Amino acid sequence: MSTVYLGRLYRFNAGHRLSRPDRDPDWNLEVFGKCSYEGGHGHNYDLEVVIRGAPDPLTGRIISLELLDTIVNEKVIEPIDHRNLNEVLETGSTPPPTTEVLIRDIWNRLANSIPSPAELELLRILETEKNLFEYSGPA
Amino acid sequence: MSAPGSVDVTRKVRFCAAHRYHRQDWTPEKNREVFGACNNPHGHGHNYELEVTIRGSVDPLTGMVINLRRIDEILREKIVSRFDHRHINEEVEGFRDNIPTTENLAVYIWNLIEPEFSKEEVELSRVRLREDSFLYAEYRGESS
Repeated sequence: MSTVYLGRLYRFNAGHRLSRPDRDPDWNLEVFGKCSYEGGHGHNYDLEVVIRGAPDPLTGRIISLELLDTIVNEKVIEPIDHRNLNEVLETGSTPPPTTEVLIRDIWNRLANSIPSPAELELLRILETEKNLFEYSGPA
Repeated sequence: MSAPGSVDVTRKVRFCAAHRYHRQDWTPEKNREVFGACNNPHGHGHNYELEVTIRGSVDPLTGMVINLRRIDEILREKIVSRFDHRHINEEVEGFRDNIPTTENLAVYIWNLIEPEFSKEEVELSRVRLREDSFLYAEYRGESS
C-alpha cells in the first residue's frame, strides 16, 4: 500500500521569555536579545502536523481528521494555548522555551498518541512569518 | 539525511533587485524567443524572498540550533548588502556572463553563505529563493 502524507494546520498563542536564571542579565541580553526582556512576550504560533500512513481501503483515509483534531487539541492546544511556555513546557526551565525546544516538546506530546498504523511524520512551527522550525523526531 | 534529533530552522529575508535575461552570443530574435519579457532591454525587478534553512542539534545551553541574530548577520553581510536595490547583471560580481535566473541565484547564494554557516558548525540544509509568489528555486548543495 502506498504511503500518503497528510498535513493539518493548527494555531495557538503563547507567551515566553528566553532567559537562563543561572546566567547573569548581561549574558542573557547578549545571547537572547529582546527575547530576554523581563516581562516576556508572545507569538501566534502556526503548527503544521504531518501524518504518514497508508489509506484505509474502507475509508480512503490514513487517519480521521476529527480524531486528529481531538488528539492535537487535547495534547497540545488546550495545555499550551494562551499560556506561558516558561511554565507549561515539560522540559522545565532550562534550556529556555525557544521554538526548537517547543517543537520537540510537542513531538513528545503527540508521537505516541497517533493511532497505528498512522504515524507522526513531521512537525512544522511558524513562530513569525520569518521563522520556521521543522522536526521529524529523535531517530 | 537529518541527524537524529536535529531541528531545521528556516529564516526569511527580503531584498529588491533588477535583472535581465540576455545572452550576448545569441541574436535578438533568439533571446526574445527563449527569454520572452525577461529579455526586455532595460531589465525589470522583483521583491525577492530568501528562505535559508539551517540544520543542527539543539544546544542545551541556549535551546537554539543557531542564534537567529547570527543568521541575520550572515544574510545581511553576504546577501542583502550585495543585492538589495541593485541591478544584478550590472552591479553584482559574477553575473556579466551568468544569467541571473532564480536557479542561478539560488546556487550563487548557497556558495556565498555555506562557508559562513560551516564556520558556525551548523549545516546549511536548503536555500529557497522566491522571485514572486508564483515561482521559487531551491538548492540543497552538490551532494543532493
